[in-house]
Amino acid sequence: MSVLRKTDSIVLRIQATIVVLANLFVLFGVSAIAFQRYVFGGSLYGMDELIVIAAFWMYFIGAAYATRYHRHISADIISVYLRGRRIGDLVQLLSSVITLGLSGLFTYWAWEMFSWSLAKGGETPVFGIPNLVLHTSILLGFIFMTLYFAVELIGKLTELRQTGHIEPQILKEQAAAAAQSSEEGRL
Amino acid sequence: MSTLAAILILILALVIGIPVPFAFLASTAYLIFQFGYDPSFLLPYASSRMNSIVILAIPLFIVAGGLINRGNIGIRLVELVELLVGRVRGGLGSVMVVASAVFGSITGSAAATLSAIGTILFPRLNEAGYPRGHSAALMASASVLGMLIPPSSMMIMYAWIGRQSVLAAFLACFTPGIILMVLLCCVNVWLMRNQDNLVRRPAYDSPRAYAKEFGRRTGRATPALFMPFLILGGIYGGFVTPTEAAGLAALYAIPVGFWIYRGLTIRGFFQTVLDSAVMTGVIMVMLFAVLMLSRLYVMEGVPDLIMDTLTQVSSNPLVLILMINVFMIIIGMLMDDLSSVMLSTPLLLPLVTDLGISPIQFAAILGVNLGMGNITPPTAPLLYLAGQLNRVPITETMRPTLYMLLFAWLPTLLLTTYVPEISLWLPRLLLGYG
Amino acid sequence: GTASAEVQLRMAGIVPEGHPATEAMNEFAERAAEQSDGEIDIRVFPANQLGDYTQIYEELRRDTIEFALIPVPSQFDSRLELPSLNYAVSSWDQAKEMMARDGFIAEEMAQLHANLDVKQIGGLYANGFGGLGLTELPEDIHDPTSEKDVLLRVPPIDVFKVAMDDLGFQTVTVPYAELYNAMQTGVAEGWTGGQAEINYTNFRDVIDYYVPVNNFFESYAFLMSAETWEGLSAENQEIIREIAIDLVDKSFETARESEETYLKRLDESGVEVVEFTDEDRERWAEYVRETTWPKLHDRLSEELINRLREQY
Ligand code: NA
Ligand code: NA
Repeated sequence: MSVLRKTDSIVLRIQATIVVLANLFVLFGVSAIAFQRYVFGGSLYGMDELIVIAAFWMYFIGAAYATRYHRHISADIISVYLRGRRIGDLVQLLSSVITLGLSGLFTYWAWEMFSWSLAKGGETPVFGIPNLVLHTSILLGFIFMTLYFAVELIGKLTELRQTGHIEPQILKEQAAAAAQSSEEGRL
Repeated sequence: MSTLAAILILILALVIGIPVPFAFLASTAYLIFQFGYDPSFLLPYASSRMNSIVILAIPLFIVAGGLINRGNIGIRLVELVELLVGRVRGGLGSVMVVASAVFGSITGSAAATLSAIGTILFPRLNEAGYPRGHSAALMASASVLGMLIPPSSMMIMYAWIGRQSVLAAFLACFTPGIILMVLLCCVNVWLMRNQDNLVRRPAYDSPRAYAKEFGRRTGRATPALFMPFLILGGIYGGFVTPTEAAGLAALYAIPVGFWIYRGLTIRGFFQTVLDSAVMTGVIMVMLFAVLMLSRLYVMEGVPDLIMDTLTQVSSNPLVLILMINVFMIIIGMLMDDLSSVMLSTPLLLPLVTDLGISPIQFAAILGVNLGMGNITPPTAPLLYLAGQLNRVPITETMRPTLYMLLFAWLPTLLLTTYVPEISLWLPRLLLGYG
Repeated sequence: GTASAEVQLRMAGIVPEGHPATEAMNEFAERAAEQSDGEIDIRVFPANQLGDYTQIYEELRRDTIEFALIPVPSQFDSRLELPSLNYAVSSWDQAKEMMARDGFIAEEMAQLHANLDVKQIGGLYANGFGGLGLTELPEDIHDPTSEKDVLLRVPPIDVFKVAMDDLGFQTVTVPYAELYNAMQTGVAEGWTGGQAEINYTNFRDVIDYYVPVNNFFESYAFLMSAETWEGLSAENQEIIREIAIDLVDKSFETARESEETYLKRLDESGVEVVEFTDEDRERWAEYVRETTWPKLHDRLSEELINRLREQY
């Protein structure tokens, strides 16, 4: 168990590092293009290519990281409304199962795209960076999303077995936020 | 029929709580299996569309918004606005609305506006005796000004998907934003008319004391007030592209936040960079999914189908545009603003241009309509965020929200829809548009 | 589309309805249906509806889009930039001779496409010569070696960038989507990459000068997925080949007329069309072939450039 937890935190730290570096690269890269134009009167030829690749790593690793912390946008109305009822638990399980299935399906399609690029090539016009670099971010992003959705589903099943019902995610977060702010003495 | 099923699956998926990008993917997967498409082109298609530096303005505005929030830049603006409009009855509510508009000129997002202005003003409104439900509802509505007053990540998204000018789309939303601001102030004052325990801000002894205080607060707000000039001046003055302006805004917020307003720490800086990257990931994976879905919609001729269905009901353009608005209101009730834009733009833009409505006016209609979608339940992220920030159950925000929808939002939407000049005069004046 | 058709083809394009290339696709669809007695059903998707040209090309390779009339992207083989090579051709006669039907450039391209499982049909489709749309006019524009001191937006590929650097411009690479605003506001002071027509329709309000330097010839091509092509019956292949050849031939006439029309319209709309004679063009062409081409061996291969030089 602690090995799993340790792996989890190492993986998260790597993901966080990737998205922070990518985000900073995008920020300073875009600014550098503007500065270069005024200070040196030219343009950073091909800089766009590098920035967009960094951006893709931010997008998809960021989305994976968001999955781990339940940060994707969803409508929790039904689960809140049906809270504490058997049907509510079922809806939540159903939603989790479908999400996991879809994520798995798209991971498979991302894999197909990745293998196609591996076999057939394709590269950026200025620096000749293989499209594979960009497609890898998408594949990895979907792999981790699928993994985290699987963990979420297992978590819900465990909760159901242990407590007899599943508390909607949004309510857990609100409770946590309230607890935190009362700790800070703000309420 | 299958198209209808695809839309129903989308709605059903949203309702049972599947995350938005995966609800899009559910509909996509259905169409693929229903029509026997080879899915191998979809992911490459979506990634090639996203492979663009123009779309980067959105993540950059998110970073900028995060840094501005952490950097204490909001509070200086609030203090200044408070001095200007804070002295009438219900004035603190108006401060909230106007400050949101001013803050809107330095951020592209409603959520950033809400957390910046809300955090500062909720305690003061509570102290002044405003019902918590009322101030949460007011803040939720006002925060949309952060998106309507340029810059706006929603308009960047619209312009990018619809292949329109970002600048013109920005400008089109400005006047509707001002109208909404004024109407929200009015509704606030009217709702608070019988509330007699409201504390008024103390008047100043003399005009001179007022002037002195005004000078002091303006001075302290100057580095913050300089931001709109940097961003909007940079774009409209032609020094930078919108993407670069977003980058420069974030860059500018770093020294101001660290050394002038001292709200930023090294730790806070990296946390902000991480948070904004993750929020960007959430948005972009949604975009990725909706691009695939709309490619299939195009191949299946869905916009034509909707148009045919609508024109069977009526051929009057005024009625049709009303129905398009109703369609968007429904979408807006189900989704948040960015995913609604992503879904509505490719679907509706061809229809409205057929009806003779300029894509730039449509930018404003879409902005107001889907902005409103952010505060209409069941999916009302801004309202929930405001409720959470002000520690008030959502039920208490419903009644004031209903008044604001009826007397501020709907009039703004109708004016924007049926009076093209409202959205078009600024783009015409400044860009020679149309 | 008709459900009874035996051959159903999705045909992708990048320009909107009303543009000659989209009209050519519509005409293609009509003629193919007619000549095959409804056996060939082509559904046209113009205006980037199925993605931009790099995406469309990739999908031709995958056979998820069957047919297209698009400019050729070079992400899979940089030698595909050959038709855009600045001053590969410099006059209309030369363009038609080398690019239509089985001209030298058309044949080379057909071969490169074949390596990528894409079938080129009928040669290259002419859009016309490109020039410079400018907001600032350099003092000595006619001299290829002069310092131009103008911030010129170039497409982000070496065949343009290196040529324009050599010709003395300062080059910037603003995204095309932001080009109008960039020129309006001075982020760029001109651009290369389009003909008189696009300069008139999209940019006449921001540019003050148009210089018809003919630095490149914009061409599209009728491209089909090789898999789809091979699956067609011999008769259907013949029908499609003949329509393509005919439309390609016509495109050179149309493009030439369009150039005259739009140069005149540019002039009438207040854009100064700068005098640039055939002799000026030859001087520029000579200079670029001498100076720039050797620097492009990496992208186009030395062997290909040498064989091209033998054509003049
Ligand atoms: Na804004
Ligand atoms: Na909503």
